[in-house]
Amino acid sequence: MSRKISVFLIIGLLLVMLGVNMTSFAKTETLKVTAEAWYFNKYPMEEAAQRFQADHPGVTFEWSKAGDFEVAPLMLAWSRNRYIADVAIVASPSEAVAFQAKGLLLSFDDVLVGKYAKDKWLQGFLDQCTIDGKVYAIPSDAEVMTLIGRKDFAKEAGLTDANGNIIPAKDLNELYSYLQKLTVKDSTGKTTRYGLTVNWCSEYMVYAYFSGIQALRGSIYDKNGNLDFSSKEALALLDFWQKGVKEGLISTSSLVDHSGPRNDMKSGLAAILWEDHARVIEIGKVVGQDKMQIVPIPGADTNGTVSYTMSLMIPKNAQNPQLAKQFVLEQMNADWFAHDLMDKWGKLLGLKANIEARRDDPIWKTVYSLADKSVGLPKTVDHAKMVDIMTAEIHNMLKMQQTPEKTLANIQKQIKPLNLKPIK
Amino acid sequence: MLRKEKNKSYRILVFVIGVIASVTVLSPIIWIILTSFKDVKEIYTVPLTIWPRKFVWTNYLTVVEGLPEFPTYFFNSIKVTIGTLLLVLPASAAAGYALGRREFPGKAIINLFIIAILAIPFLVFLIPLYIIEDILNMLDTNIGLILPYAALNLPLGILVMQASYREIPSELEDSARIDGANAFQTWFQIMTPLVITGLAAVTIFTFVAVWEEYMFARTFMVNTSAQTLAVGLPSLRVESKSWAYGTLSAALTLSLLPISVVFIVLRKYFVEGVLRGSVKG
Amino acid sequence: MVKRDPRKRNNFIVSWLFVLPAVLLMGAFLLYPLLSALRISFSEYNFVYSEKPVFNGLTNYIKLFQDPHFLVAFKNTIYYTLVFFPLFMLIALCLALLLNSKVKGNGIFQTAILLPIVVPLSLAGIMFTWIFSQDFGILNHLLANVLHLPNLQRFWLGDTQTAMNSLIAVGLWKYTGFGIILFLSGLKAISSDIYEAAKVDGVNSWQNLFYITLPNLKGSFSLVGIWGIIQAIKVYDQVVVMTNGGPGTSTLVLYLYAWKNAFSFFNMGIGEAIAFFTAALAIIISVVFKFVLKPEKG
Repeated sequence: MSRKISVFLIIGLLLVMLGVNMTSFAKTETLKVTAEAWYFNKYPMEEAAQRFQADHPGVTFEWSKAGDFEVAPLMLAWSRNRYIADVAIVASPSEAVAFQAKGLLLSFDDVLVGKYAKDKWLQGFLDQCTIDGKVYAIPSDAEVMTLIGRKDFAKEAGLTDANGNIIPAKDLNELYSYLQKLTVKDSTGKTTRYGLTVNWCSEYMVYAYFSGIQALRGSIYDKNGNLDFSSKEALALLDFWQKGVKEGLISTSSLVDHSGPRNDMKSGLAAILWEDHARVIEIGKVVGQDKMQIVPIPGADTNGTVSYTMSLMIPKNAQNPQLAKQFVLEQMNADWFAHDLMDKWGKLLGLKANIEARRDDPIWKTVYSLADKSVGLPKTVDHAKMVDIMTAEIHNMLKMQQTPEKTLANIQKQIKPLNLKPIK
Repeated sequence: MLRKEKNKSYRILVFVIGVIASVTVLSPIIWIILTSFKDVKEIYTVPLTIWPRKFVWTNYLTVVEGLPEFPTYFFNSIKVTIGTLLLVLPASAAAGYALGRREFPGKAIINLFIIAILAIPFLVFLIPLYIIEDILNMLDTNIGLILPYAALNLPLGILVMQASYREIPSELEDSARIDGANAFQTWFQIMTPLVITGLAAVTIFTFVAVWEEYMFARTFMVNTSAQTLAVGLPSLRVESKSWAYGTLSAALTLSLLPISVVFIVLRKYFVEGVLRGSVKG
Repeated sequence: MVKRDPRKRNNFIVSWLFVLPAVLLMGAFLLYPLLSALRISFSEYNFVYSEKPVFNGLTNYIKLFQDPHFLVAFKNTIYYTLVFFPLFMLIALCLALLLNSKVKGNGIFQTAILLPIVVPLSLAGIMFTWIFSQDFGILNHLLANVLHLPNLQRFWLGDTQTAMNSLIAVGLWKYTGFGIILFLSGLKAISSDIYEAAKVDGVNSWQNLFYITLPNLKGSFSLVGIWGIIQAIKVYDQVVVMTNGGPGTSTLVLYLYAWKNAFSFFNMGIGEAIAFFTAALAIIISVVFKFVLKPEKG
């Protein structure tokens, strides 16, 4: 009797072991990616998933589409160790700082080797994603700040060369004279076409301002290593903006509407846009790509400009972190993925090789040289507060309520108590 | 003679104001609907056109194609709204009756609590409620929205029902007591028909509040399976925080349809009220 | 005395049975969070960078009054309330009376006037941004090209003079309907007997209005008033979507500033303090309003 039972037990045990082995053999690993919904519509994520599955059988993907990226839901979930996703695509690296301050992210350093080594990436982009010397986010959807001009309007104003290309202005004064020639006013003196439209809305304000500083001076820091709110170039930039608005040469639609500048361009209400480079594709789709040209901010061709990126992060509580890292590098930074992004939307990724392949195209040639020399804004604890203060003060200046000198003085005074030490 | 003339002048004035008010109020909605039928290039032409030069369906197609999960979002919104109403209506009617017509110790504290909730910006509840729901494993579930929504909409519901119950003449309550009805019977059988207007008002307020609520829905529901329409619609955005006007107007027009149906059905109750026959005697 | 006690106890039990479902629901989900948030408002606490809340008494509240942005938000919110509230009450009352009367086309008026209630302001606000746009919006277009009044054109949302008023207009568009519904509730409750009797006495429509209808609406006035004040003080949806407090800080309001501090700067201590200040403001103004309405009930 007992022997029969032992036999049954042993067979049972063997079956169980076999069963367990079989299930683990057939077990699929799931990679869950969370991002705002438009990201999945814009970027070829489905194809990336299929290609990855070809190389890594047994992997399934799950897309988690968020309506709106807010830090709070992810922060709350991860700090309570709730699993949300293996890869999270969030708005900016300064938010990665917040997550990493609570130790919630994984570093990519272990996989940034070989063709993905750190020096193979655009320095300006990778720097923004580096915290305490380690890379905690992979740049995505990157942009450089630049001017985008309409060749047809420029030609009317006599500002193009023999090939119909806009001759870049050498400095702010020359740019100002361009605006005077490009602006069209009606008989009552009301502007019907602005020479320039700048995006001064909240977060964009920071990029617009510092891209000007970088282009004019070659650095966004003053001699003490703090962000520059005191140089004569800073004053010249603000002067340029205020004077332009006063004389009806620059549109103020962005003071309340962050879509204002691109709408101005799409409807032919402005000749030059000062915003991120990817707009060139978006606007070209409405007015015709042949009319669009990327023009560096005066000085940017030697001094560079400011860039910003979105970031891909992998949380500590990811269920398949190594697989997630492989997916991010192998597919989401593959040349086909990068080229799809560039051709359809004008967005950049961080690997230099991907952009170098497209250097024959005039637009990408300019963008690449700008991106190569670009710097990112420093990540700081009180970044959001600084943006808030800058926006309020510069808006007041643009509404003619204070001078540029007063504006800089006010900003300096208000940011004194803030923690703006750069986190590298 | 004088009265008739004065009556007529009153009615004419009322009609004129009615027309002006309706046109003013409807014009943004009409603009939205017209825009939804225009194609992208026309939307961005300056000077603007009012009536579409050519009616296109592309915006609606974009909405339908861009929101494959629409049925999920829609039914989640329906479930959450109905669930919330099932809690709010009886609870506020009961509490409204007691607070409106009865004296009892603790009444003042409850009233104070109600006003405090109404007055406070709801953002203060976000993180504590998240933690509570995480512990109770209610995140990413419909009930995880129904319960807090009910709690948040009760204060207004109670205030409205309180006012409704107060209007009932006390003779009614007295005669019911003489007839031998207890409090519950009086409340449920006799008074309920009289406060239909109040109940309809609470229904529409709660419905609207729940249907368009975003902050809690966004934070508590991360998985698509549990998300509501309010969170799902922004998926149609072109980019971070940026809407294409054509798509947005199509989405708005579509989302107006279900809630307008509810509205038209309920309109009869809170605008036209209920027959007054039962009040007499 | 013995006779009274059982009835009193019975009343106590019955009354509490009626309020129990509501009290339990609200208590379970709102009481602890409210107290927890209150405690944080008296503490130094950054959601990301602080270990845990550190009690600091009234420091947060005092810091608020030294913060120029807070003072601007306070001023803007008061302005919004002072303009929004009277207009809200007046328009809601007039339109409720209108919808209550048996005028031709009443059904259409009802649907038209009340429709904005169901339109989500977070989405409609974006359309309004476009409608109010200076170069690109239908409002200026209509003024200039259809009504031939080009001088009335404005940079509605960008001009400090008109920005706040534009936001108020949008708020009225959306929320007046709620006031109308509440007033209609009150109007329906006025017994038709009174009107019948008045008709016999030969009273006309205007006299009806002033001597019968309005005095009987006092209860509704109180309810609509409190709701209107609270909506005004807690204004947020259309501001964040249409101007985000801008240009500069000219349309910054209290709820928006509380949100920014709590979820952009992660400074929960300050954020909660602003929120409770806002609530206190709403309660105080409501109490004043109720007192003005019913002075005899001191």
